[in-house]
Amino acid sequence: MAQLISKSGKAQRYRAAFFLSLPALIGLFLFHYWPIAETVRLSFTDYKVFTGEFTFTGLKNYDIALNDPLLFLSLKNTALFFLIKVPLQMVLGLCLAMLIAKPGRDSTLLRTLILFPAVTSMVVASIVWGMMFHSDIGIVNGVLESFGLPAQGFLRDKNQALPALASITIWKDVGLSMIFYLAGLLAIPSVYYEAARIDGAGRWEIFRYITLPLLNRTHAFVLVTSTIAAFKIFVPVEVLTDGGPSNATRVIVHYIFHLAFRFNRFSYATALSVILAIILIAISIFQLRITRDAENE
Amino acid sequence: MSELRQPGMSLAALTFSVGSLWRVVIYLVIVVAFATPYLWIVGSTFKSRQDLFDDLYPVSLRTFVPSNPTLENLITLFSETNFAQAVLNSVVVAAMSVTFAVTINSMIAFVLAWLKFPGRRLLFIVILATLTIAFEAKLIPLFLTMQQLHIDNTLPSIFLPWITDAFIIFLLRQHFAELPQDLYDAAIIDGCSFFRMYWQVMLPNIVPALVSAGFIKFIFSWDSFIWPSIVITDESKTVITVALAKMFSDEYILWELVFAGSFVATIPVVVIFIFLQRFYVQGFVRSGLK
Repeated sequence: MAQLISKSGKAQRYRAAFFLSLPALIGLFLFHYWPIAETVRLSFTDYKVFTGEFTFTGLKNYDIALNDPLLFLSLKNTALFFLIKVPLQMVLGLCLAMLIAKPGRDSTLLRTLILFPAVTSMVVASIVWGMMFHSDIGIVNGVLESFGLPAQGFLRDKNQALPALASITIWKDVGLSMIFYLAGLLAIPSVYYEAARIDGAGRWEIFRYITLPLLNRTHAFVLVTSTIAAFKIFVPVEVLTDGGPSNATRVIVHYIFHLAFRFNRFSYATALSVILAIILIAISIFQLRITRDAENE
Repeated sequence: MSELRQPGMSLAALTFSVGSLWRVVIYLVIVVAFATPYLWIVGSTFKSRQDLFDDLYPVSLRTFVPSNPTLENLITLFSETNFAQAVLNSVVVAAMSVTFAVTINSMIAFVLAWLKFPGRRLLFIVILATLTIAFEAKLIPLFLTMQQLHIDNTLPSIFLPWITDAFIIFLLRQHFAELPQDLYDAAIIDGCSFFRMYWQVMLPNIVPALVSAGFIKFIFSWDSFIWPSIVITDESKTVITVALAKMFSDEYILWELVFAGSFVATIPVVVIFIFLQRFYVQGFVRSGLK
């Protein structure tokens, strides 16, 4: 009977599928695939500000990119930012998850508090931490001074600016990492722990040989999402440092954004966008490999 | 999070077991790190400019608690700047964004979960593939597309590009797919059309997921900054994040207004979050780890 029903309703089903999908598909092609295709096309052109026209120039933009010291600097800074942010965020996320995994009112309150930054806009987070890190009126220096420690430059110091930005984004993003780790922890069957305890395993051994490896899927997921987010760092740079001091926080998205919307170098900026997209896809593929290996273990 | 927890599970082994003194210290550090910025925003919003700077050093309770509370900053913010307009714009954009996104994405999610047709898997892959391309990489043509459609510098241009959302489609498809086959069969036998099946039979069964999707979309919309700062040039159409960033980048920063603006942008959302956090967390957990 089910067969009969599905056969008679086939045309109707296809029609319903078409109309119910249509609005989303229009958005998908108009605002996702079309701009992506255009990004690639425009990257082979030269944009003239005065006429607003794009003329085909082949690989010229990519040629410029290969000899652009600011591009390499911004890629280096982005990679550095990733290296500071992602490992710290993962370790903190896991520690916080373990701390609040035990049910109770204090765990619930802590979890809520740690997630506040996740629903606070990045602009506000940047502004508030920017003021707290302010070298003259910031309360972080106020606290340092009251302990007799020297005031720091933070965002005005070219060695401290990138780590300061990383700590702001860790503050904002660690809550979600914690949530993923918490879900991962709670999915580990308790029999593993009981068996290990019967075998006389200590706390560290249980953590090292049971908890950590059984979280492999979670590690991979958190790694992928936080890495991609780290490579797209933009808002705190735009709001707080504008790439400075002396290019110490010049990162790739910020560089592209400024080429396009401050200097009208649309074509060159699209070429860099293509390079960024390729880097991100490469990272995704590489990390999906890791994920698959993690699942096969 | 209790809904994630399996009954009868022993959690003792997963948690850090630390002495009670250490536990207090760790908790204190976490509370200070996460609560301080909010306390500072709230306290400073209700201080006069003079008090704001006088109370900064040395850092003490006075830094966070106003000794002469005043509504002056909020009044100035709403009467002498165009911040009220920016708040209204952000609310309108977020409301539109959530309504359209939940409706349109749930429709296609239902199709992907229940209506078999050739190429369905391929369509799903084509949708999910958009997750791998960062929107930052297609910003420029997207901006040019808006100009070609002559909708740049309008409120719809802020939210239209983000309506179709692969993340939400994925999340809702998971939930639709988990509904029992009986529901589908019963609807067919009752002679229910597929539109009614979507609207009256399936949709009411995934309301929690719709709330998750809607709230996550709301946060995304409220947070958005790069795109509105590009596509909107008219100050009367600006949104809250752009207005705040502009106040913060002015030559002469009015600190007390920046605090008041941050307060308005943040505290209502945080309060809503306290009530909806279950949905928020579930939305991410369910879409992330399956």
